[in-house]
Amino acid sequence: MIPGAAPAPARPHRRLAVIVAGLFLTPVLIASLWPVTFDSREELFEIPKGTFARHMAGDHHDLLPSEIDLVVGIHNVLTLKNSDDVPQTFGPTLLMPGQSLRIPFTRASENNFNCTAHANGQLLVLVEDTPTWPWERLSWRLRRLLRSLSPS
Amino acid sequence: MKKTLLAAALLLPLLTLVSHFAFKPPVATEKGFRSGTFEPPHEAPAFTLDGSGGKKLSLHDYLGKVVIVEFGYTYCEDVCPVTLSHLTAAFKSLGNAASDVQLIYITVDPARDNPERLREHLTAFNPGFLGATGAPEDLQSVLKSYGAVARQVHSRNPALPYAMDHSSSLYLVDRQGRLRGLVPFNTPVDDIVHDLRLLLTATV
Repeated sequence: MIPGAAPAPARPHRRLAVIVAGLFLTPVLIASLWPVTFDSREELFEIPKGTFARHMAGDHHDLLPSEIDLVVGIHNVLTLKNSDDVPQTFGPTLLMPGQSLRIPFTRASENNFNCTAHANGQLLVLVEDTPTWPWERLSWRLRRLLRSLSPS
Repeated sequence: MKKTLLAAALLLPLLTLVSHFAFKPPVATEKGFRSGTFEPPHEAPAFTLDGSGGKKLSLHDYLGKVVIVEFGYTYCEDVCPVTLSHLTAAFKSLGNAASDVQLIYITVDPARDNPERLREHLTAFNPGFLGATGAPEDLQSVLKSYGAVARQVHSRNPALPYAMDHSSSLYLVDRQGRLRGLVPFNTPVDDIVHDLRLLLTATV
């Protein structure tokens, strides 16, 4: 720089690049560093009252997804509840009116249950270890995002 | 700019370590049953079938014992051998208390599993294990009453004409004949033993 001369203005394209990089990196950093948490350890699926009557009337709405994702220690309990007035086969079992089945999963595992509610006859309960490293959290959040976007 | 990059390069590993070690995921433990629990418990669906012991076998006959109900078939090559091995180990682990536990293995393949074949197959695991078979419609009714399923599928083993895809969970029935638990496939032996001990000592 020549002594006494005004400093050269920052090049506009470099500033834009910094802004774009910041916009991209900030969510990536947050998704990597923020711990994975849930409000409850329980993932509840419920057959609402009147489901049988609606089913008989032609409403064949799926109450269970074909895949349920759980995380060891922080979101590891699957609860199926029948709040309808008649017994219902729900997931791997038959539940009486007002009855629930609570299944805790304490290890990372892939659990396939035969289930008549799904076209392929299977319900997958995927239990993962708690992601604790930033890349694990980022990968976990990306997979969860992609699953939520893809039609089940 | 260089200073910013340098600061970021130093800060990022530090943040990585802090975020990893500052958050300790809780250890997953269960105070009660480690397998699935029905709440409130209801009477287990009753059945009377042809037992591998050569006479009729009813669930009702085992009131006072803890009963494990399993659905499977003797030609099963993946699920049943694992589960039966786990149960064999669990019974050994229970010691004398195992005499108060009864496995009832209900076939989903009545065309091939007669009482004799069931007896031979189960005795290889534990002479106390009992099998049950019956007319296809009777077995279908039992399956349905437990919410279990079975269907014939193509066998990967060319030596077998077909295989059966079937529910792989175990159903735990308490001494009072109530359906209390559902044990998912491949549950560790220690967890099965833990839950059986709970049922054996349960007062209500």
